[in-house]
Amino acid sequence: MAEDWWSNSLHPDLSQGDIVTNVPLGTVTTPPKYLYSAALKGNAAGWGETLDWRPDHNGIGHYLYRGRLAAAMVLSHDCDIDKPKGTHRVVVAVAIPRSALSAAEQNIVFTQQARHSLPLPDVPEMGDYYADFRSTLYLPFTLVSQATRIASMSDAGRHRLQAQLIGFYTRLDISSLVT
Amino acid sequence: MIGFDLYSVSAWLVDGFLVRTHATKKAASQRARNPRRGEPLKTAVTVGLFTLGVSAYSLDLPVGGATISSLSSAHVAKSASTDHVPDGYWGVLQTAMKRLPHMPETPVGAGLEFEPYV
Repeated sequence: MAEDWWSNSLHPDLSQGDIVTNVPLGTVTTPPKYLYSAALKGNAAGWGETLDWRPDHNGIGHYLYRGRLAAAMVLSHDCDIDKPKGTHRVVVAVAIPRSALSAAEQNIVFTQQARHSLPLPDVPEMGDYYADFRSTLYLPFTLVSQATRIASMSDAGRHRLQAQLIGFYTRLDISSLVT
Repeated sequence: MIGFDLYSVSAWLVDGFLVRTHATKKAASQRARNPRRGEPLKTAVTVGLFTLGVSAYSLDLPVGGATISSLSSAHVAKSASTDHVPDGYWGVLQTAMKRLPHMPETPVGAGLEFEPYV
């Protein structure tokens, strides 16, 4: 019997393998542009850009990100996100529509030849996507938990996800075990 | 007292097999009482590795189209370069994973939930 990638219903809590939508994903500009609080016309609150790092007394400052509001897959293990605190982080990978790839790239990803990209076939309500592990980042737990969750992975799907994480991060050569 | 060597990866391995996961005072004291504590996991890994060759056949699934709609129809195509995964890679990896137990959940209050730095 075929094992589905997706659970029939969402898991009760945010879980590894969940797909969330419309979360801010991206990275810093190059070179990094740091921000400082600056009044705009009419004394509206705003930000100015600078190349000088101006952190607060805790060493924390602001800088400019560039990215998309897009779908993401939760990579954090349930054990790290099942006791939520406001300060907790959730590691996610960008989830990208299959159509963003060329035909040749689609063939590589959806025949599972790429270590860096996990195919996500038939995501409920979304269609074929893939998770690119080269584009992972962390987001505040509060943000992710409040985002729209589209799907949760089945146990078999999460097992496959975990295998991909091992393959991607370790490059284990198990060719001697493949008979 | 927990020595630095307990935090060394080499201290987690016996004959190349992982027998420890992390060092705690409790684990260290238990280890002192039972030096063969890692044997069940070691055995499980050993059995898993010895049977991987056979298991790989059952996971060597037929090649389908460019779309996969279920895990059972998933396959790995012939690798085109060293950066591509070889035939059967994910199936063998998953078989090995299934033969390993999950680590026990970290108890609340174990002091491992550090506040994020940024």
